[in-house]
Amino acid sequence: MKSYAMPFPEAEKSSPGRLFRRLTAVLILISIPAVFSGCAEVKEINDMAILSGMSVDVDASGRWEITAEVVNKTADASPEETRRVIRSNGSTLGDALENLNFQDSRQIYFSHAKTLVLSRYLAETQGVGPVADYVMRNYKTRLSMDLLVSDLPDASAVADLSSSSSGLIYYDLEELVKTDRQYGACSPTKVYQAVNLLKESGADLTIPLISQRDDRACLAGTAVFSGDRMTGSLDQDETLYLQLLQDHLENAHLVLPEENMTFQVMDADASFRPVVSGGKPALNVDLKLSCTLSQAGRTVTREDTETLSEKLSQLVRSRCGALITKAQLWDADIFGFGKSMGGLTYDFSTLPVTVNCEINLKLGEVHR
Amino acid sequence: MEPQKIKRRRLTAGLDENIALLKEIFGQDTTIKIRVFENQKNPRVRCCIVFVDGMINNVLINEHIIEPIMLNKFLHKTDHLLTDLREKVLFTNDIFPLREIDAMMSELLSGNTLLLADGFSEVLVLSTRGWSIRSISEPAAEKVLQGPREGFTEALIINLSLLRRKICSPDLQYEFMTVGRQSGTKIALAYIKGIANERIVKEMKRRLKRVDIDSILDTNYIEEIIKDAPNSPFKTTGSTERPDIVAAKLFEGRVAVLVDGTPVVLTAPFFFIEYFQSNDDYYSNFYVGTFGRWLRILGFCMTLSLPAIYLALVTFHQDLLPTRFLLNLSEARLGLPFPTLFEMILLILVFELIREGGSKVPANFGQTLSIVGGLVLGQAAVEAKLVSIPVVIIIAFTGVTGLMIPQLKSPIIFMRLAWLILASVLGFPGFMLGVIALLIHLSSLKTFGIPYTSSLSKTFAEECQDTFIRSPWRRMLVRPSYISPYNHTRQVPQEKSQDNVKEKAEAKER
Repeated sequence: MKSYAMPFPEAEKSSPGRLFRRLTAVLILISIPAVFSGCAEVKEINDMAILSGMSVDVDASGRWEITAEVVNKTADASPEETRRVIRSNGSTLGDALENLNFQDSRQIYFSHAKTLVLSRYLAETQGVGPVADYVMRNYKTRLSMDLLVSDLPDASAVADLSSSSSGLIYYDLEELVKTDRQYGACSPTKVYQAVNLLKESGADLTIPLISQRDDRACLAGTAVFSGDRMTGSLDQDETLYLQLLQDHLENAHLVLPEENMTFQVMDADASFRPVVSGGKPALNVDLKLSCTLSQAGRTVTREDTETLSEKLSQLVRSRCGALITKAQLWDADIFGFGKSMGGLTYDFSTLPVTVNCEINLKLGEVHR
Repeated sequence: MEPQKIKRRRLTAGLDENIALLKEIFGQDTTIKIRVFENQKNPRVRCCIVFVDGMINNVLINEHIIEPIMLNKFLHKTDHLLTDLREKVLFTNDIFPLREIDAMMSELLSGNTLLLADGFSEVLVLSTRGWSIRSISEPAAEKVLQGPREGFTEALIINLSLLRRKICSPDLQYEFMTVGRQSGTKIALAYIKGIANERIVKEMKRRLKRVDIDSILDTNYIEEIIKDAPNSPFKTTGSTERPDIVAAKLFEGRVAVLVDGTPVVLTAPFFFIEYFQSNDDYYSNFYVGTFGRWLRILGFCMTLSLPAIYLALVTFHQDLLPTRFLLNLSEARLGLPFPTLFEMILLILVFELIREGGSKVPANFGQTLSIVGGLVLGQAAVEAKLVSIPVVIIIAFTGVTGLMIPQLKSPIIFMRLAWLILASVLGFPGFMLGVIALLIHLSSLKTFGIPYTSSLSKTFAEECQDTFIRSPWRRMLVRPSYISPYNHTRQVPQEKSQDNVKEKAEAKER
């Protein structure tokens, strides 16, 4: 075919080697991504066993057990039939995880696993760090996988609980954590956050605690870690104040039982001020809450604002103080005080902490 | 008779010999009519008209040619008989003499009538075209909601007049040529002197002169022959059936090629952004025009990339999918025998078959075909577990968005398949490779010496006024400088117009 390109000076004339150079360029462009993109990893969705989550247990003899839930969905399946529980064990964590692949005819697909549940025994004895780190790095799981500690006898018991909505218990756990967090009932921890916290200094790890109510899963508070070992647990009320001190509180309610009143927390702010008192470091915790009265058992007027604010402040101060004392007993800086202390040398377990609380209470006209 | 032999023959002064020659040339062709007649007063004035039946206006011939010659009382057989006939007797608006046989044949076969007179070896060519022409109507593939509804027809002369009505300026130039050795197709090169880039005009003439083919039946023949990049699926010349579009392009410095026998007109140069420009954009509010343009660009991107992205996601990068979507996909693909790539190629093929079949089928069957093809086949294929529902949706959406720009049909079909295969082999990197290859190819293309993506690489506001957005008309002050360097100003800003200046001065005086 004749070339009808314009005879302008900048027009490129065709040359014999031009086609060869173009083909070479195309081959190079194709071969580079072919080497790096893993084109051998083609897999069809129906050839994969999608893992929704797993539980990790270790017994006293050091034998590891993995309990996992894979999706088994079909169009006419009932909620019980949409999942299949598989179990494997091994002498090490890696051995147990590799043996999991033999429990299903399809290839286990970890990338959509949403929850990793560890047993209490594992958290107290072996520690969380190596487990979380290994699972995250080797099995292409999502970094945002939720980490939970089971308050049941075994973590594997979680897989036997009933699902409330999707038919997949581990996805339900993820939804549970997400929902309860909004009300201050849990302080969620993702796998990558756990691994990062364990590597950094200045703060200790907390992981939500899972238990059972009837035959369904529920949150039972927070597991507290010193380093990567579990040292204690907080109940749900303490978890709320933990959220407040961690500056994560969004929506929560505070109760004054003696007044038969409930207050809604609209906004909360926590800040830490290191001070030096008598040559020794100390910490002031300044809390600012903006609350409204959401339920009252008696008539309340504007004149009651100051009294109620003082009572609320007293409540928050005492509860936070008790929580801090508990954490100091466990030597677990779960609030992140260490990040605010700067270069001061201190011992967390004996650090004097003063909690100040300012309540901005809005009452409106008259509440009955 | 062979063309070479025709060229060597000459007319003689004898009418009968000339008639015999014409009969020899045309053989048994009964559409060639030869009518011999003579003047009633002076029978020595013997004439003969030759015409093609069905191509002439019979009334014109009977009343304006035969009758005046037959009934004229003053005609004599003199040396200047033909001149007398031409200047004093015949009632046609266009008459000229010819001596060459091949030129005579060309005029005869284009609907003119030849008048031969006894004693002369020259003929008079009379303009008598009168065949049936399709009426001016709106082109089916270029309909608008608001704006002119005229479209070109197959007659060159009418098309030229339609364009002339849009550009009532003596600067509108027409240069005529004939291409096609056997077809003798007339073409006209149109441009506006003083605006058109003279290098482009010169280059277009050069390319048209080099077209050496036996017949030209449509502008696409010329388009493919003069194309800058013959192997590229993208056009480097535009085509349209609307005179308003051609006029607008001429006003921007382009040239147009009109071909007799086809309503499609070529314009050059043609840039990539023109695929997404529609005349609807200019006849409606600029917000609507801009939004329409974005929709077309989005449709183009989606029709090309949606199948490849879907395939890359479900076969390589399942971790990028939302979990619920992945579970539904997994459920949808249960029991399917074929890999996703095969499903997609199969459905693309089926869609293209239905589309192609639908374009040829009469309108009465169109609806039935769409119901059978779309609903029945698609639904049946899903229920038979041959294909999955998500793939049907993807391909249907892809097909529909691909129809938004009919001119991009061939690049879309080719690139969509290429990207699909790249994505099936290399995942997202393969898809990106396809995108990069497309960008490189587009950047390397030139249209009549001007880079194909010129309009997309400008940063000055005045050069970008009609690319991704359609600026308001009051802002479109200049023509694109990358097309033509002449007569840059399209519009004087209202505040600087002479009337405005005068009004302000008068107001100040008052």
